[in-house]
Amino acid sequence: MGYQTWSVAPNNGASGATTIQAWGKALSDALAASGLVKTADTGQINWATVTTPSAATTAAGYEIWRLTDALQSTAPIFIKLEYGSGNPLASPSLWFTIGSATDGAGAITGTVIRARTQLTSANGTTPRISYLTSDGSSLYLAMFGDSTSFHQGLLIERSRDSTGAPTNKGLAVAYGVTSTIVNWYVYPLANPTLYSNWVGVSPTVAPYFAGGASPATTHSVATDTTNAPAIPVILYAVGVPAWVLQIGVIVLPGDQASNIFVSVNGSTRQYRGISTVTNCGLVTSYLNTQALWHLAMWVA
Amino acid sequence: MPQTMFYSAPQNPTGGFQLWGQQGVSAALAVAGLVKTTDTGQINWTTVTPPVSANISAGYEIWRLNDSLQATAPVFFKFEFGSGNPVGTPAMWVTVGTGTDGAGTITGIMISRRITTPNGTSTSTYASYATGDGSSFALALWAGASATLAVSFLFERSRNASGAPTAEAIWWDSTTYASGVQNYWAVVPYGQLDTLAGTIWGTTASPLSGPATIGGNSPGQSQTISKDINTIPVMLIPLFGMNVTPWTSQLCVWCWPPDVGAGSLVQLTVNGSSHTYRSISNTFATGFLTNGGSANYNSYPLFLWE
Repeated sequence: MGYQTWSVAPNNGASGATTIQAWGKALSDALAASGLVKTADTGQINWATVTTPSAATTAAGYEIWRLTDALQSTAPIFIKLEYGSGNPLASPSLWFTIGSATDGAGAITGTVIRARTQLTSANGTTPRISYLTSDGSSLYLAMFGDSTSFHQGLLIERSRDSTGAPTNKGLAVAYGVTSTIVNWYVYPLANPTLYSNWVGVSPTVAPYFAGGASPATTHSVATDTTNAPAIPVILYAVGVPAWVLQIGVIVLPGDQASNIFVSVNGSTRQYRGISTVTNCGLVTSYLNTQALWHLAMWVA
Repeated sequence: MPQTMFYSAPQNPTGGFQLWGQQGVSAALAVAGLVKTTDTGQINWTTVTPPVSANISAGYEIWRLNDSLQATAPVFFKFEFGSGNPVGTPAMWVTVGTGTDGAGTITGIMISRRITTPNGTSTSTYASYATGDGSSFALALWAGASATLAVSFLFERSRNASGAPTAEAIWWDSTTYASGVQNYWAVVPYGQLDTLAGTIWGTTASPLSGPATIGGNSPGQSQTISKDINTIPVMLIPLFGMNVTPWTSQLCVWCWPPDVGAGSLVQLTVNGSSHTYRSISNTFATGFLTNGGSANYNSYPLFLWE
């Protein structure tokens, strides 16, 4: 697993500043260190020279990344990431586009699985911790993930069989910002227009009340010390047999730990909690009234 | 594992009350493996008459689980049979606890008294289904009717990874109609009160959310999840609560209507073993599983049926 973590302030500075390089290059470096491969597309962002856009909600440049598993030769997945400004322009922004090919010059071609989608949150000067992991068939990013206000999350995973091996049936895409927006999609690769989606709610739903009160950061799911208190996320779509998400499992803040060992898809895997005080925005209760549950990250 | 199906109309006229209450629910609970206790004061189906006013219980029965854990972690159910609103509407109240006083009062309450009633009545008869294994039971009343007439009860002890029941917790879900289909889904540590220690989902939420869109459209009775004929597109239900070890329901799984035809039996591996499940109905949509609040309730349960 290509687990990475880093700390940088969520800030673009002013128009023309080089501040954008700090968070943008940190993310780019983490993607590379995770094992994902940057393509040779021309025109990709130059981290030595790029500056903050002069206007809000504007991309400053892009990178094209791809999965690295054996299925990439027959069911390729390319991810275009655009780095830029939110609104106000000091707020970092990402746009992602997912498809089956590129034109070699930065445009996603072939089958566009997920159209260009923006992630943006607030800006600040305090460094925030970001987390990223990949097994070559997936990507889970929790940028500025230790803060509800700044979090930007993106999750991509190929469908899997019961042993956890990736399959060419489908692709899960989840994204969310802060703690209030969450969207989950499962795209059949044979026809992405036949997607399933969950809007404003995660496929596995956190409870509304616990112990007669709202779930708290101190709440724990299980007292069993041998079985990690993790909840699976079950995904499916037309033509895509249901599978259990492997890149992340749901935990409560009270169960957060650096090392959570969970049996997922028949094997014990190591997960890591993202934060003890916030959520990553990808797990919600009904109407998102309680979002303290979040997605621990597969790290080994 | 015993199971049964019966037909009745959701209405309370004399005779009809007995038809759904005695010949339906009471008989089905016995077939499903529960044991009726010897508590005094239980309803006399020969003499009882439907209430003459709304929201009145006409009598009760006390039932208990029938597994080896009953000796150390007993579970008792009080079913009250009566009228909803208006008076001709069937209604049931269920209370779940760890004991009784021998005279019809549940002690050690885990699920507080809850009403379940359809929205209105019908003279048409509809199929109802009941199943159980001594550690769990499921009852889907008038399952073939509309979403507003169908109601359901599901109870299951927590289980370990191999599916064996444990004494750690209980799962309760019941659906009723009150200004819309209402769901009460709770996981409660054994021996504790739901409102103090339970994990409760919203009235239109469940631990597993159906999608808002499937196949690019709102879920409907023509949507399927999987066209892979080698893989049955059935979803397992993860259950979890505060201080409760997560487990997978063995009593119930769910699907989309066309994937498993109504009444079909399917063989599934759940908790490491192969089990037989039955699709309850392709018109059963009671809010049992929801998609997080919108109007798409077109997901369908399959009950353990073996």
